[in-house]
Amino acid sequence: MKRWAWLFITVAMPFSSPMACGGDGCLRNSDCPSDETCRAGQCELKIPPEAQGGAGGEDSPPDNGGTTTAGTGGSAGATSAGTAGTAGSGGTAGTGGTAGTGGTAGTGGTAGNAGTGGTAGNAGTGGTAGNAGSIAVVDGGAGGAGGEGGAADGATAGAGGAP
Amino acid sequence: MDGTFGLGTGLEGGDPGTGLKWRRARFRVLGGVDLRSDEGPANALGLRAFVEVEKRASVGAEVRYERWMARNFGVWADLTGTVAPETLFGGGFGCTAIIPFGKKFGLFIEPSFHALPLGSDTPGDGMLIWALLSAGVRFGL
Repeated sequence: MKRWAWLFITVAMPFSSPMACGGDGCLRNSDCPSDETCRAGQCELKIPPEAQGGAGGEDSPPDNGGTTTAGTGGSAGATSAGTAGTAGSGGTAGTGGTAGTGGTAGTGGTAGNAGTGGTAGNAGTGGTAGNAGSIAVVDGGAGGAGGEGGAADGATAGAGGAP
Repeated sequence: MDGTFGLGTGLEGGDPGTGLKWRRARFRVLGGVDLRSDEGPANALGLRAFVEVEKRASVGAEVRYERWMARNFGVWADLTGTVAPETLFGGGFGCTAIIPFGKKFGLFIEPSFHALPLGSDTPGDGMLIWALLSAGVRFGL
């Protein structure tokens, strides 16, 4: 009986575990955990993880629009998702007077472009051109081109707007 | 009718996409019965169930047509496969040698070869090959 037992053990018992079933790789899907499958000899997730979107960009710094013209410019109305209005043109300053400050462009809507600053008004004779108005902060939209400084007939022309 | 209970292992091969690869087959525990007709004892129907007990355990079965060339030696062809956790299906052939130990008791040794081209557990889109050696006890019922 003993020799049969030894024969049984020798023939039937599995080899040592380091040889077991291929080690690291896989041959059958059932070699892998239930949520993985065997591809090209390696276990891979059945459903690959969804690609992660890139990190969001940093918020743009508030972009001041150009300076609007001097003079009695009106304020442009805020627009929604559109282009901000153009500041009104400055009026002509009176003699010796200082031109008024240009109007402020309205707030651009989301993704809208900021409006273009108005044209600087002509300074009055001897007067100082007013400061151009500023364009309001635009959320998400590209900052509009700054208004050009107006031609000054007077002593100092208004400052051009920064984009 | 005879009952069998044994253990088996061997070689398992297939191409997972990186070329033909062989490794030791999963260790399995098997059991079943052979049904012989009194009128034609040379022919028998064999039913086996097995459990592969390494890695993720899998459960399978096979049906054999056996042709006994002698009292203690027979050849057979079968359909075999696994049903869980993945499926495999194929066929094969083998032989059985019995070492009698008493009138109703013996030990069997059984080399076999199987090709399993179907199922979700095949390597890549290819075929899984088993070259197995099983051994165990055989007893009259």
